[in-house]
Amino acid sequence: MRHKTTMNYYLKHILFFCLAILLISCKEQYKLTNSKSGNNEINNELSTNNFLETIILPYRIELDLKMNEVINTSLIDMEVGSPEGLLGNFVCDLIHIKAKEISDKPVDFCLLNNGGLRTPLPKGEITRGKIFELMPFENEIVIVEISGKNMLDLIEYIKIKSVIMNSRKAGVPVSGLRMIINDDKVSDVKIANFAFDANKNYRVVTSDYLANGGDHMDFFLNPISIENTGMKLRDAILAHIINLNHEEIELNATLDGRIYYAE
Amino acid sequence: MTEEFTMQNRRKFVKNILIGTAGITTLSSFDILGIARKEKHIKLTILHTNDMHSRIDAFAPNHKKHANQGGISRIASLVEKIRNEEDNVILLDAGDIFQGTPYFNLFGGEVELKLMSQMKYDASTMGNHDFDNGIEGFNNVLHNANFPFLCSNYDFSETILNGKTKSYHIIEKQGIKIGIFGIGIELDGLVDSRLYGKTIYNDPIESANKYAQLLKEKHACNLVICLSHLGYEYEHKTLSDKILVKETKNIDLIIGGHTHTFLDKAVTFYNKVGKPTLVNQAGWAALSLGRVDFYFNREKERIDDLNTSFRPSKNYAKF
Ligand SMILES: [Zn+2]
Repeated sequence: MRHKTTMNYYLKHILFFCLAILLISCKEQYKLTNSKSGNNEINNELSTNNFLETIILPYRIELDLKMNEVINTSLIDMEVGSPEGLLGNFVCDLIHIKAKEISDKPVDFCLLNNGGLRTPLPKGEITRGKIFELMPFENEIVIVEISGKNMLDLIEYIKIKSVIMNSRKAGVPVSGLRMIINDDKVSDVKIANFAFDANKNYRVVTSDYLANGGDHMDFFLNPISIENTGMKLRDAILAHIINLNHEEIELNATLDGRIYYAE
Repeated sequence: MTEEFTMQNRRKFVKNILIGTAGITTLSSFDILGIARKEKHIKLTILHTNDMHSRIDAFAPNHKKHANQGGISRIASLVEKIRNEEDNVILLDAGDIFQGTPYFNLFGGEVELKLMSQMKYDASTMGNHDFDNGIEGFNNVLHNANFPFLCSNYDFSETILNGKTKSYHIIEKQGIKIGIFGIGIELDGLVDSRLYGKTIYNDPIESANKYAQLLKEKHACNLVICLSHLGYEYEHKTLSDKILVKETKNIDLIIGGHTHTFLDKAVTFYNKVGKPTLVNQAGWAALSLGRVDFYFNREKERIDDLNTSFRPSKNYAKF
């Protein structure tokens, strides 16, 4: 009789202990069993958020004041292109002019990248904000002196990029450099109106981003010399467009076969 | 806000009573012992963005492709709506918050981070464009963020960002532990070296495995999320989220960015040990809000259609 009660007593304890263990071990036993996914489009059926709008408002007022100013008018739509594009020609030509103004030494040609021209310039009014969209980066103008040997790599780079079609990454915008690409061969390379000479060094104006090997422009690495102008590309573009406006010249660009792809 | 909170508690309470009296589940011993607060089934809602690129306002009405679409302010409205519907919401970003509109050029990222803080983002990682004003530029506006930046393979110890980002972060929701870490893209050749300075780039696969294991095993996280700015996929062998899955284990979800990939929903891939890993990405420019709901069950067995069988119907809220 007494024996049985003791047994019950122990059994109770053991049971309680087991239950306690069970409880503790259950604590972390959440198992991932299922998932469901669906992404939401953010369209104009959604309203803006009132509280966020109150935070944004003072910034937007300041921004609009600066960015909505019309700084000139474009006669044409300008877009990047391959083997040449209106936008690339427009920007490279003006950066080339600017570099020649800034530097004491001659600047042979300009080379930029289409990936860095972030939006087309539309026909019509051009606002300061549009130029910020075109060139949002803080990149600066640099003049790099490279060897004729590296120039061969540069020419090859342009050739490879120019034969790619229908891609945002196709083409290399230049100014002051001309070449003909024919059946995977490059001919008639002219720099500053002189035939290319592989034994000469050349001074190229570009962005600091590209000069540091950006967009895999390895031919700019280990240059003979590098001249930092301290001027941002965007500031140069803005200054040029505003100057033209003062002279009552509207924006225009042409395709002139500088990189010519003969099929 | 408080009112909403009360409503949700009440809804849960009502749900428990209804379940009890309807006899769907019998009251377990746990309930008697007063541990009934632990839910048997828990739903976790992960919301995410990537590559917002300073898109504070919607695209202009004359934009060729995205006229009047997108904008952080609109995402905030949708997040708020979902927060009102769901109990456990986590909001994450996979980098490239900066660059793309003059808001960044004029204010250096201050507006973006202020808005994300107001939206109660839980964490973000850094994309390549978040270096666009240099480490110094990032550091100058970082105080506007009340959420951590998770950078598990960028070593900033030799820079002014030392100690200002985290390698991982753990969030707890109703007893569910969610471990999150961040994998950044190789900066060399992509970002000007003067902008990232003395940042050391550690192997992304090694780092991912290290932190995923730490979170899953040491910290016993129920869910491990990787915020990645590697990109969804490439034509060549460049490391992408798709490749990252194959080379890792212990990751349940990769929230990606960089390639501006629009997906309808998360895609399942199989990891190094054959377990499923979800990969999701929400386009760019605040044009999409990614969403993945996870369902957890306190019992061991797999319940297949949890969504339809156990999701409290909207009607409960009316009681
Ligand atoms: Zn990116």
